[in-house]
Amino acid sequence: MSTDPDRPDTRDRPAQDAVVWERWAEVDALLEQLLDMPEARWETYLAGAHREDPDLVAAALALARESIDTGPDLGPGDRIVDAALREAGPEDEEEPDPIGGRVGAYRIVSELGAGGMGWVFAAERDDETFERQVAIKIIKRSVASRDVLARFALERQILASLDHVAIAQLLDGGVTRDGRPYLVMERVEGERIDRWADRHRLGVDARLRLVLQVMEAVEHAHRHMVIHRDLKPSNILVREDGTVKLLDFGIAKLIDHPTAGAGTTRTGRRFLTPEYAAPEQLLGEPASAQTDIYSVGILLYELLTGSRPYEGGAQGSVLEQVVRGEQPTAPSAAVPPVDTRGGPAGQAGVGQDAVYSARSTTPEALRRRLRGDIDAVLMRSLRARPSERYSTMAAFRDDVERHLAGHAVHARGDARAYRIRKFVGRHRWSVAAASGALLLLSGSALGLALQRGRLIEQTEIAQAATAEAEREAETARATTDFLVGLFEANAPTERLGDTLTARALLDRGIARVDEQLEGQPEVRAELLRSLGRVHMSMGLQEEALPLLERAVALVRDSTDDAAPILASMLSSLGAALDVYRDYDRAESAYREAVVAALEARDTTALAWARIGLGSALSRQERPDEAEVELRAGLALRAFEPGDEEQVWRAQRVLSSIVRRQGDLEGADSLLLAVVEGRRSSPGELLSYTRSLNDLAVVRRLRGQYPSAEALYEEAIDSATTIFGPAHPETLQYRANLITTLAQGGNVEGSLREQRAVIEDSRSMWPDGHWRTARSLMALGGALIRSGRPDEAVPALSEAVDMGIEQMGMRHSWTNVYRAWLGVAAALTDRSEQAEQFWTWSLEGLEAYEALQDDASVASMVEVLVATMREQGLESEAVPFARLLGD
Amino acid sequence: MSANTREITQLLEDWSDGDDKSFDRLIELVYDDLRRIAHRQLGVGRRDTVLDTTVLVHEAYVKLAGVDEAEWSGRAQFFAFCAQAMRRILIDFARRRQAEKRGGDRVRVPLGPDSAAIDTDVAELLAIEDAVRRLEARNERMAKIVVCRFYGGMSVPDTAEALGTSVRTVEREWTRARAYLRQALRADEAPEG
Repeated sequence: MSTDPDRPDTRDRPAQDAVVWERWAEVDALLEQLLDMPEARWETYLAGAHREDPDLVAAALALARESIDTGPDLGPGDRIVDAALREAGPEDEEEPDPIGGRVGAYRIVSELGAGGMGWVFAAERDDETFERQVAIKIIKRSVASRDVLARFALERQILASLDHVAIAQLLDGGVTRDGRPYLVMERVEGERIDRWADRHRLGVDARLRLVLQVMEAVEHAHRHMVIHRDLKPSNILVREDGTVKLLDFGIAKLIDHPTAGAGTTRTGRRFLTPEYAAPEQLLGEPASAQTDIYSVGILLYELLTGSRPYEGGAQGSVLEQVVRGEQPTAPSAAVPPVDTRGGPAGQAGVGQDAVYSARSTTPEALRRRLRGDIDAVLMRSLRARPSERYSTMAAFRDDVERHLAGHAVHARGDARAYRIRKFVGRHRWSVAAASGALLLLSGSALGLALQRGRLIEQTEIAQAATAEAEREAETARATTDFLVGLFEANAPTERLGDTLTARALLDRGIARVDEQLEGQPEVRAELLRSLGRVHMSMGLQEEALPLLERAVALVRDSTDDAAPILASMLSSLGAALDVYRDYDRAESAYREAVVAALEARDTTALAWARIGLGSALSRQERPDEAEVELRAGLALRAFEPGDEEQVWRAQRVLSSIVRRQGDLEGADSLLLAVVEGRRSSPGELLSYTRSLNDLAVVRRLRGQYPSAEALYEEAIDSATTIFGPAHPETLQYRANLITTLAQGGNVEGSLREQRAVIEDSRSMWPDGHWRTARSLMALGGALIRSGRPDEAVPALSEAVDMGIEQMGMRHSWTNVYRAWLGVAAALTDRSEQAEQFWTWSLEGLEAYEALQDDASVASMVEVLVATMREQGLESEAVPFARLLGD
Repeated sequence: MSANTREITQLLEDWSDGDDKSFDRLIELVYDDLRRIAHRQLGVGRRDTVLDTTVLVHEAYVKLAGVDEAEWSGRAQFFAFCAQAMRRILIDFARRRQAEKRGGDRVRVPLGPDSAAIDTDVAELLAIEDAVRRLEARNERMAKIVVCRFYGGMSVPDTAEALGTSVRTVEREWTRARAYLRQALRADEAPEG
């Protein structure tokens, strides 16, 4: 690793790499120091501190620069993993060559293009009746989900009903002779909207009017309940007369129906164009009209500024940025500066000057034009949460029209309120992880004042309460002022507020709480608590805890009658410790909160403290004590509107304790309250679904089969809506239903549902997936138990084949399937084959030493043995029972 | 089911205490699943590996722990374990690919733009493995952080919990670890002597 003495400055990278690894401890220590200081100080510091050691300096400096490099992130999910596994994907299909041939009633003339989904050909219909130029899209076999064809006719009717001058009509569809689905569409001669606009050097107004045409078309489709899902420049053509045509309306859904994919998590994303997809699509959530609104927002953004939102932003993918709560750069700020050196910069291959000449404008004029209205309109359409965007495409279009007409746009009015809301709401994406116990930051002090209104023995302390309420109203005002100040102080222009990260705001908030609120300990404590909670919601528990501890200490030291506030402060601390999994300390915080609440005679605070204590105890596996606390807390019934979710959660914890103690009736009534409550409130569908399942489990255990079945069916319906029919969670509910049906004596119903599960697994998972095989085994077992072993044979043979193919002959699951097949053979008088299957099976299972500890296998063998005994195969069951140690 | 969960929890704890035998035991239980899921399902999805990795690790988790055990305390350890298993899977894959390439006679016709990308990525994967090994010898925790974050797609708090350290430590060390990995990749890019 000697360096070339003649060229001291151009050390090659491998040599530097060697320094790094050979002197790692020194390099790492220095790197750590550098990363603790601003980048601007690195050089000065190194020149002073380690001048005599150029190797070390060069190595540490290079590393420090790597660490702030904005290149592709090495974070989780790097493309390498993807590429490494790509080999296992389906083989690329050969392109069909139908030119000159026919598809349906059409003759293929030439190829127009190819893409991820398939190929597009120009074709004409030349039968007697009429002649028509069409485009035919032939879809790859690997792309078409199994049930595409089944749904095809229906979807096609809906799409064909879209009759709008700006939407390319879907005319026909079917399956080619070699099994590929195809769609026949109106053929449109035109140019991509972005290129057309640039070539005609459209200014801002003309570009807005062009997009208005797009919006009208999308609006029309939305009125017919059709969402485009894949709006992007290449799907929007402009004809020479300047009229717009949208292609591929609803095709994304037709190809990639949500029920056809692995829940909504994978297949749903296959054909996204990530640059134009809305965050909910990237997250695999269902598309809505707001999804198209987002895509039109990006389209308009790009048409106006020449770049896409987030493009100039911080590192990470758009999704990461959205999840981190970052806002897109405002359009006016995305306008690139004039490139004085004239080199290409900014986006791919487009010189920045081209952006201006294509818009017949100058940077300053464009920036001025976009600032204000257009910034507000676009930012509204591009919000991460669908519910915060325009509620309809019509509202979006209306704002654009108002702007063109010189009226005030609606989007601007809510921008300020939005910023404050956003500070609180930004991290909702991650809030679920931090328990739902967070109060809204800006509302917390007010909420506290309201809570305090509910003191017991009101007459006795009415006066004190009034004084207290006033004091807290004061606290609330101070809190709000403080919050607003945080946004304004450093935001000379409106826009800066949007680019601040929540993290920076929080840090600033902490610094100011100490600086500015000297002498107002209660306000300080309240703010520290709110900041603590926001930190919790961002997953920064380590930083949240000291804040909450300080809040508690401040209250404890400051006032004589600290008890009322202290109780709720301690409960917040307890909740944080609970999330942090420090249950011992959570327990003592809650216990102290109970004491303070009693002292203050504050029923609400007491209820929450005892419920919190109960949950902490339950996590420590102390069910008896937990039950006492939870019951006591719930019995106080001192809750406010908005507390429902927390109450239900507490009831659920209590129900599981009660259930484990064998009190099924008690568990039932608790869960019934949760189900009823969630049913009547417009809360989250998923938690409602889970509580349905909870209740159904209890009903089944109580032998109330019809009621359990009805509940499972409802749970399955909504799980199917959320995840799709063969998602693991939906399948869990369906398996529960199958068991319940069988236990309740409805054998036919049970078998029917089991068969349906198998069909859904087949269409959802890859061929031969273990889920399908397991379901086949379950079906076989059920058929054997209901005295139809002959029908069990084909199902079990298929399971065995799948096991062998996917897992191998020696895999324990394969050998359980073989044993089952043996049972079916034995019961259909094929004892020789039965012997053979059992021999193979035992050979494999005996070799699996960990069998007894592998619950998934052991429980399968248990059921097998029980069934064999039931079917009179006592002696044959013995060697299998021995596997379990019996 | 719960006896099994307890045993897995025990194995995970032993493993995080440095007992490699437990890793082998655990891997017997889930390796096949992970590998199969990885090959069959990631291969189909192709996009957004973060989410896919999470989905498949969750699936293995649900299978082992059972849906009812959502509060299972071994969660973070289990994710860490899957990350380590995923590392093995990928490295096996990369080595095999390399061996195939050196084997010469391989018939693979479609040399589209994609296959070049795969070969580069295989080299990158091996370069990263090399760097992780070097880190292991110098700072074990930092290496573990890389495994959790890079191979397992784990969040910072989950990583912190799995390794029994603080969120802040993970953040700081991950920043530095990334620098080492990137540099290792660049060293790998440089033309040979």
